[in-house]
Amino acid sequence: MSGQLLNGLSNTLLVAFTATVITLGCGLVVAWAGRTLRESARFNPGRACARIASLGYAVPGTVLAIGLLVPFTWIDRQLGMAFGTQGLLLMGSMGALVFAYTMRFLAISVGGIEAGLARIPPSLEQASRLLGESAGGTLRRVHLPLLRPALAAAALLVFVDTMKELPATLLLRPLNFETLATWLYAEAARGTYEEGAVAALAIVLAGLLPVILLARTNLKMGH
Amino acid sequence: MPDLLELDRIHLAYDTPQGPRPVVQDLTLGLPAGHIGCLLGASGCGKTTILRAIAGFEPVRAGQILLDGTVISSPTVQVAPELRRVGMMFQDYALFPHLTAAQNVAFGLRKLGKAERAARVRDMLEMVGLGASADSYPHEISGGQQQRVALARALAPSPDLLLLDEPFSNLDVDTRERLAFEVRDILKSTGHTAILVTHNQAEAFAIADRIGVMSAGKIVQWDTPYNLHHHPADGFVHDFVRRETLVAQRQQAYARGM
Repeated sequence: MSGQLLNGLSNTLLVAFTATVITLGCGLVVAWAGRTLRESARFNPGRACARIASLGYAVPGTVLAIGLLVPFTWIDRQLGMAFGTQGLLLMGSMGALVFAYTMRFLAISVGGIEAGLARIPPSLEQASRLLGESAGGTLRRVHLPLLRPALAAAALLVFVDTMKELPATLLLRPLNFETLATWLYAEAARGTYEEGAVAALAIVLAGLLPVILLARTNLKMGH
Repeated sequence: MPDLLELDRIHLAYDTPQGPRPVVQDLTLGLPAGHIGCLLGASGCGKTTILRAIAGFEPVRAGQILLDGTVISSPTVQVAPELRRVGMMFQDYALFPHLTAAQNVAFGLRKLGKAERAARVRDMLEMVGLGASADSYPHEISGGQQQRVALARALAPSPDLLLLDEPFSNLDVDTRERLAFEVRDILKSTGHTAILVTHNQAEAFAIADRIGVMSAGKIVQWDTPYNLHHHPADGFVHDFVRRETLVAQRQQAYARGM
């Protein structure tokens, strides 16, 4: 029981953490592109990407997971043929799962980061460029430090959402891979609610931790 | 003396869903090294767009911009802003809120060694009279002080050309006048070439060696303040200069309690 709990907890944290980092990274790229790539007033490819990236949030987890099953098994078969490996590389690891989480929750990180970027006046970017900094350097030295609160808030939301995501996890997880959410579901389905309650409490506690962390860093920054 | 900055028949336009909307048409002017030029005009006449084009944030549709004899903007050439050696003071100061005054000034000095950089930052802050506020964050100092930090930051990498975009408009009247003269003294003592954009005639006449009176995307007259007053090119300049002078005189009279 405690082994099961630890296993579920470490799986959940690992997969949620990986998905959060990747989702934030992608969100930053998409939001930044939406702001920087402005080819004409009529069509903005970056902004269009941001809207498309947000579609995943509207798609139910089950639909998304089933939609991903076909391409992922195909890719796995190609990889298997190319490298002569046995089994499913992406489906067997957490790859497919993390990909599904990223697609599903990208909207949260893009939205949060876009809102954060909108609060940074364009003159700061221009000032940085005229002081000899490239576009990438400006992102690193001006925008990232100023985006910290927005990034932290987005990370928290994505992390908590990923941790308790169930339908896509059930469909795309590797064999014998239990997260707290799938464990809770299994116990509840079996009618052993007491066991399920442990998993539920673990989700709540693991979700509280980043909230406390965020509140503390916000307090420290003073605003 | 050859001109340091040359705008050669430039056309600027904004993209709108209905197609490009011309803002500046066929504009030519030259500014010799060490001079302070000023574009004076009502809001919406295209003067800030010209500044953005010189800084490299706005493409020119026709014509070319030369800095020190090199083409930096033309329909085919677009030198990146960070490679132009042009500094800028912004209307909203644009100080980095997460950095102290000293760190703001040091932002453009990455190529210098550590000791050299610290010395340069100290010198620049001393020059604008803010040596004591080096470790303050922008929100901890007044608007006038923020503007001085912005000047120190823009001048720190010794740009070939300094652009000033309505730099005093957010300040109260007293600070504005004092700072305008101070900025002129600093620019003259360091020998910097600068272009100021403003709608305030008092500011323009206080600072500039050459003033361009603008109307609807064109420069009506590009001349010394003396000539603008005494030999206006046409009725528009005559009325513009006179009207503003009248307003300034009324304000002074009012301030004196008359």
